[in-house]
Amino acid sequence: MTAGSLSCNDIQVSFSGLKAVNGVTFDFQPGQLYGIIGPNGAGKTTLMNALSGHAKLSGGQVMLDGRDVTGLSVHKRTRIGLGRSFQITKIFAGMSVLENLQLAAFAHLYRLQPFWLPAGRFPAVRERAESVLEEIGLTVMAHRPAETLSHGDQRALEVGLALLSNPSVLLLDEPLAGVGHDQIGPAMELIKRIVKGRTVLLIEHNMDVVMRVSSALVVMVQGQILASGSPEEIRANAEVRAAYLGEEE
Amino acid sequence: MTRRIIGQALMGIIIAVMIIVPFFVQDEQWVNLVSLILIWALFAIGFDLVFGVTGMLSFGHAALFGAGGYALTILTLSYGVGFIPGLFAAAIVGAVLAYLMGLFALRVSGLFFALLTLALAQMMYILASNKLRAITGGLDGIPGVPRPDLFGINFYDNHNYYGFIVAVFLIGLALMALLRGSPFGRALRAVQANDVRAAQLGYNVHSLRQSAFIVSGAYAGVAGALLASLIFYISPQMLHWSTSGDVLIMTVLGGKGTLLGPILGVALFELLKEELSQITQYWYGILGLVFIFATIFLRNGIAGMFQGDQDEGDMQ
Amino acid sequence: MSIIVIGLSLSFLLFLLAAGLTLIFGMLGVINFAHGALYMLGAFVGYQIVHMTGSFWLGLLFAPLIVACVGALIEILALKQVYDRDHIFQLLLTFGFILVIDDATKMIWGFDYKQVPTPEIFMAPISMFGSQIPSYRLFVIGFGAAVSLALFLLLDRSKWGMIIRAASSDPEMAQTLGVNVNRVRTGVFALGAYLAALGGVVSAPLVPIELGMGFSVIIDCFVVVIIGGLGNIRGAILASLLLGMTRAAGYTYATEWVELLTFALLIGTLMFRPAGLFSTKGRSA
Repeated sequence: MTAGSLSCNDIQVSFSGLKAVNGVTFDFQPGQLYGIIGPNGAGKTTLMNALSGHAKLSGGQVMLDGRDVTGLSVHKRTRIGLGRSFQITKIFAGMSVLENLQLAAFAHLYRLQPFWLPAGRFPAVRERAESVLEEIGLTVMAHRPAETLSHGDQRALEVGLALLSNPSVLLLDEPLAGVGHDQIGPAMELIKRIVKGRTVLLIEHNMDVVMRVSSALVVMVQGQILASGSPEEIRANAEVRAAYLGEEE
Repeated sequence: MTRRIIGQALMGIIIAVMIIVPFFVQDEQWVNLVSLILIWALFAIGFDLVFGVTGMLSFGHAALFGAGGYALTILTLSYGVGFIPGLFAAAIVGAVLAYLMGLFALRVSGLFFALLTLALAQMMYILASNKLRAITGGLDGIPGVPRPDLFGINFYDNHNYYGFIVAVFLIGLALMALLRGSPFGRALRAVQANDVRAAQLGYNVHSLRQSAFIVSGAYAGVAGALLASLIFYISPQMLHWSTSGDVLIMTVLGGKGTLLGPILGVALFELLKEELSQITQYWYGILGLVFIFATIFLRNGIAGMFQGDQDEGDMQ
Repeated sequence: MSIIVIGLSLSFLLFLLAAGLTLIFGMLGVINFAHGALYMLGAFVGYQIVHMTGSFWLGLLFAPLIVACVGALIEILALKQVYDRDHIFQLLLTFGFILVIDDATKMIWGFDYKQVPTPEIFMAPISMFGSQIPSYRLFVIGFGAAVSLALFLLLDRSKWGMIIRAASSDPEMAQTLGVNVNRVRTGVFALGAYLAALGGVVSAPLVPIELGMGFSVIIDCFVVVIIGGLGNIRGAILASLLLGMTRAAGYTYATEWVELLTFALLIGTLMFRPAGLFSTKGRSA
């Protein structure tokens, strides 16, 4: 299990002069789940955007499995094993749940999209989509229009779309955002289930969840990494408590 | 769901009847009107692949349309190329020009894409009217665009040429139906619905947009060539921005993002033009009002009426 | 010398138009395709008033007000219905109004072009720096500068300007603060139409008033607002100067290439700096 190592070297992202990520250097080890925490505006999502290719770096490098991916576009990073879910749900409304996943499956299985056959005639695609459907526990919802799902199920589908390409590194941006209390248990189970064999970066505000699922924590403040370590170490870190809890409302 | 299927079947029947009637009616007027409708419909379904399916508003399709017409005209008249190779060449010229325009226009999106395509096409219009006078005949245009020369059939007879147009139209329609229902077509819809997510899934959004524009260019090129041949004449007027506006109006009237809608939109446009222009010379303004009403009240145009969906159905 | 005067007068005319376009964009997020048509309508209504009263000044006073009402009607009857949809629909509507306004103009004033005589007091050219300068051009420069200044004061200093800026940048927030965003939108669209028509009346003595005048001017306006940065009034004034002077020089030295150069400028800016030449932002749509 060597695939899934992600490292960043002094990466910087700035928006009109403002440094949202200011010199982050870190090696994410294969097979670990990193909880990324920090106050609002600490640059967590921007860091994720930098890793997935949505934000342009103004400095530094991103390496995936020892390969420099700094200049690669979003879709190319996906193809070499980087998955990503978004903070704001970006599923395809007007399509069924299965169709959403099929769309992801086509992107995964075909570099050049077939244009000579109806989309329904690709059994391999359907199979792949259905297996992910099962993984995220939405099999019974397969033919429901995606936008009619409950919020929690939409978040699960959002994660499923990222899972479909079988990524070795998975970036999850607040997968539990807006999920009701009664849904948090199953959602956490899902995260634990899909983590196996992957490197996962998880942004999550619910500290209870983060502490329980993460193998390591990374604390960000003002675009930089303040501290990192096991959940126990972080809990005991006085600097983190001061910086982090000080800004929590 | 059933409402949708019935609606589509109804639209299909109306279009089929419209296509069949001229074969049995001797009246030249009908043949000419439906010929015109089918040619513009070919243009419109190609345009809708970019506008309705992929979600890019192009104001530059006039250039692709005109380029196809000029390709056929110049190749057949000046270089002695046959009509059929000329028609293929028109498709290729349309596609290549779309590729070239895309090199500029696809760097931006949204409103800027509309403005950039408009500027590029209008620049070509000016070039065709002035600087390229030697090739394009300037504002006077080029008369005498030929018709096909096949199987010893006299295509200068409008009824026979109509048969040819129907054949090309049906091939174009079938190919487009295949394309839209294919994984490629779905990927284009995904780009329209959410380009960020589409890229994250691993789709190359830029090349998908580019492909849609190129295919659309080929359709515009063929349609432009057929029109020049129908009226035996071509001029830079075909490249004028109002041509881009017309195909846009037709598509919105008919229902963007639907396969059959734009065809009905073209039919309505041409019928209104035909009828209104007999009553008043201000038919274009009235058409403008119809267009405004359709934009406000019929989200999915005529197709939306048939299918009974007035919701924001971007992904049907 | 006359190049500078012509260039400056052209620049101020362009600015009047572009300011309206860019204001509307800032508020509604839409490019008003019908802006050129409103400019043309302004010129025709101005012609009508001059024709009936014999006074250019009455035309200058009333024609823009009438067109502003037309603008308000367009906004209330049509645009207001589609704000909740994609911006593309608003653009489609303004495009539809080009056709309607064009044909309405045809219906009322016919196909012939019209002319408005230069106001009496600006008939005689003025000698300046050893050359004869048409004094009406000087008036255009002065008038344009005055309107620009008034616009700046309105937007930057007055309470109305504050409301407009608040409603543009965050309509929901403005709404909760008690601003009637609906009415501000109508007002801004009417103001944009007013400025377009003002440009139409002012340029009436300089050009033949005809149906095609709207489209040729709208492209120039696009160039100005794109180069200046959409929604950016200060950028628009710099861009107007740039384009106005370039055009004036172009007409003198390379008439044939002016149109093509204008388009090249537009295409180049759109490609490399869609946020405007004077913007620090990168490419974002």
